[in-house]
Amino acid sequence: MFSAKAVYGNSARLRDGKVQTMHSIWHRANSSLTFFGTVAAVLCLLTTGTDFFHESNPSVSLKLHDVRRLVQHHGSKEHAVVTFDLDADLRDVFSWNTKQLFAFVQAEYETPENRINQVVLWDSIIQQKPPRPPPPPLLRRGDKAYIRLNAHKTKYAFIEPGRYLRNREVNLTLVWCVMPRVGAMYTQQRVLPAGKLP
Amino acid sequence: MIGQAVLEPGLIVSSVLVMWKTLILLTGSESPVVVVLSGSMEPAMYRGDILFLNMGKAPIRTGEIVVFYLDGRDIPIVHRVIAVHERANGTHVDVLTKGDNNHGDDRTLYNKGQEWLHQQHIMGRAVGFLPKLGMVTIVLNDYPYLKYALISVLGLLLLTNKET
Repeated sequence: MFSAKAVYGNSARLRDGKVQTMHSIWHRANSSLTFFGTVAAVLCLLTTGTDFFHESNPSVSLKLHDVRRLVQHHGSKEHAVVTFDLDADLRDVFSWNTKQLFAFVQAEYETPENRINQVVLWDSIIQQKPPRPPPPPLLRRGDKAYIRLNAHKTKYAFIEPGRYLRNREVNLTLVWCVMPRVGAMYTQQRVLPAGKLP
Repeated sequence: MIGQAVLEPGLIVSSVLVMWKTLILLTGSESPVVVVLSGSMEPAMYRGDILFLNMGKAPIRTGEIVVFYLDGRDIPIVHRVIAVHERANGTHVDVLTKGDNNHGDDRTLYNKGQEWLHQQHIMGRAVGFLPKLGMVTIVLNDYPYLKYALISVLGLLLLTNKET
């Protein structure tokens, strides 16, 4: 395998006097590597393509549970301490190419100063579970994709950079970002109006 | 002979450069492909993963994974947007980011007195992902003698190529 012919190739002198080498180890390694790379790239594209056909319609119920405080914060800002109820079944969003879901709850509102305000209040990383037979209903609590939170405190402070939270219409939105094992990421969301802050 | 030894690598280098610059134009981002350097976005992204970026005209919204540079520093940071406040006339946007694996938001990373990121700091949004393939660049950067060895071997192969 490592003879001079294998490493340097068969030489053949062509009619115009040029020397051409064929079938050396480098040529074989080069073509194998190129072929491997091409096949791998095509497989990655096909894999990420399957996500295009993946449909899911998870049920989501999200509402403000109560507003505990709404106070001034560091001078010119406002801080609202709220709790929320979230019931979401995101298990169907997982496809075979999904590595994890990044799910978060955000408050969205509009003020005279800012037409778009989005503040993330809570987030959760939900990883792909290995396939297993469906558990009896009582054991479902272990599956993070089946979210049930009641009167849950926010992970991050709900801070408005101005003084516009009083009497403000707020939407609570559940967003989930789908992180693939390979390929394109996409995001879906469910917007649920939550009423007015006091 | 010498002309050929200069032209061949020159052609290869310039065609790679043209392809790279075209990619920059197409994606609207100054760095359309980046390698994740830190573990602050685990478990979504690990050190050595490759990210494909696109800037586009769409406004920055929460949940997006953005790549940004802070004034005066030239390492890109890849984190997720967790708060957006966009002015009514659309001219200005305040953005706050946080690494998934970090406990607090990125205000500890921003420059002194800086509370928000703005449009000009953000270089692109992550739209696609390849696991682990960027480990090569990290290894080459951590062990520079490997980089010199690789370049010398490639140069040697090019010069001793017997094909016409």
